[in-house]
Amino acid sequence: MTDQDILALFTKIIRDLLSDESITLTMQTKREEVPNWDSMNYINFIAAVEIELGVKFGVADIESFEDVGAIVAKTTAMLR
Amino acid sequence: MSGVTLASRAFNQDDQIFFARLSGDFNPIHMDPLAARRTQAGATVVHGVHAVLWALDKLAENGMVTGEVRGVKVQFTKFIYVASTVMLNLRHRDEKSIRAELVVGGLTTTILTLTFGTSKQACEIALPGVLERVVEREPAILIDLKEAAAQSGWLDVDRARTRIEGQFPHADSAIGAGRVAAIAVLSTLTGMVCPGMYSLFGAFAIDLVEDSNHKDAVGFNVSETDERFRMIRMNVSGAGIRGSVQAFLRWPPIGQASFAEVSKVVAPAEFAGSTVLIVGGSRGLGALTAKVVAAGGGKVIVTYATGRKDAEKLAEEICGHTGHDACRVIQYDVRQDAASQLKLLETEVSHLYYFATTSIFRQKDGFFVSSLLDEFIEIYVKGFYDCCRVLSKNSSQALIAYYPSTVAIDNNPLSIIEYTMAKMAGEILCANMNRANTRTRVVVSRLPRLMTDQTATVAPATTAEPLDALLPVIRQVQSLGSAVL
Repeated sequence: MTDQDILALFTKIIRDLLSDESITLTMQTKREEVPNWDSMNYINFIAAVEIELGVKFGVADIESFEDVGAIVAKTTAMLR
Repeated sequence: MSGVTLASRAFNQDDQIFFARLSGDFNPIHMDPLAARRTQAGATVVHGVHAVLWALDKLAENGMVTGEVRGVKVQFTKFIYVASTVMLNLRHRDEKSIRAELVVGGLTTTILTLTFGTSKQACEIALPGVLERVVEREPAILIDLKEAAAQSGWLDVDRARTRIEGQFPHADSAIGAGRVAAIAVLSTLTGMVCPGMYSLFGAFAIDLVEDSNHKDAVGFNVSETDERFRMIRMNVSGAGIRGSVQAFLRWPPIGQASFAEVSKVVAPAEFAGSTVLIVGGSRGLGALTAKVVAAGGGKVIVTYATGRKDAEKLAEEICGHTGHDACRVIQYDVRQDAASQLKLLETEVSHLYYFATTSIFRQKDGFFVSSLLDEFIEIYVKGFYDCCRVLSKNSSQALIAYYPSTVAIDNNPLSIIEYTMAKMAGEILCANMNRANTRTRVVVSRLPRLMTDQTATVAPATTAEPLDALLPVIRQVQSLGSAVL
């Protein structure tokens, strides 16, 4: 999967989670910039990504992701 | 994007009791304002399942449920507070599904998806086979995550069905009264059994099935626990439903270091001779400060706005160890007149620690809510100034005050902008109180995120040890006397 494929998947997951088809994530998107993407939905998002891609993030990673691009980068690294 | 509003209502305290009796879910987060205050909700919240059954009833009443319901998927994304007005908005509808939301003040709290088709026949999930093992519901069970992993059992639906039948008549018609009761029992499962006392209901997804084996009970077993998120997934099956439930094990009320523990790191006479007022001292950092000062031989007066029992328990702990009247308790609301309330002190105060706070992490629509800034300013700016002004006026000596600010000013998280702005204003006030001749010397420090009731979220977040962070600050504040002015 390319970074753009992962980004597209993330967009699909967050749209589904938040029931909002208007959301389009970019590498620069920060969680706080997306309406309703609160801590609970962040957990649901991470859990959905893990199920979808068969990866598992560490607590330190989950705490430290500053933007979507960082999650994409970590995911790419784990898929290698 | 909010869709068509089909219905609206508020759930009041009577509704809470109503649903608790129907379902058996008496979890304190729904029933007890004082207990709920010490959860991340900060106040009593509506049973999510109650809101869902109301929504289902209204969808059916409004003719939205035109096919045979095959599946129900629900995600709880925000709390619905008691007395808030909930709107049922239809977001999407076609021949295969309905998607609706429960919205409060512009915020989506619950997402409800119904799918249509023909009910499945078989029950494929492996569950405990012994129907006699019906778990007890009262009081709410206390378990940790490891214990949760081994949980399984059956919950009686028959009793709930007797009580609930006819309460949601259109939902009864749409999916059957037995399944309405089974869904209600999912609330009891999470709120009273697993995870029980310290639970948060995250989501459920169920198929409606024809299950001839277990009509009168819902069986459950835990399929997964995830300690990173304190998350629990369960399989559920029986009484015409089959699917999964996601719940979270929230943190219990955060207890700070005990007086005995504090005494190990504080010298017995370290703070002797000081009389310290701790505003917001009934719990959290205020309570910890009270223990530290008292352990060092200082006299403390702790205030509470609503948590009288917590404050009295703290005083009992302190006085139990010090053997004298080292801790007093008074009620003090920083939003009310300071002078009339502080008349009760009957003693001069040498030091003030101002830990008055309100719920910081709010559910809000939009990144900036001006009324929230007003609320925070009243507590973190006006309340602090008024308290200092009255104390210093009533005292023969100068007042040393501590103002706890926050690293949020450095980090500037978008979600708590109003809180950060108010604390910044507080810092500016403190700086100018020190510049002006106010007979008050204010010490300000930006505390890191510390583990308290407010910061105990299920999402991973690094927190510092409160005693380690506070002790140097208290030593600095206590070392200052009126001579510094």
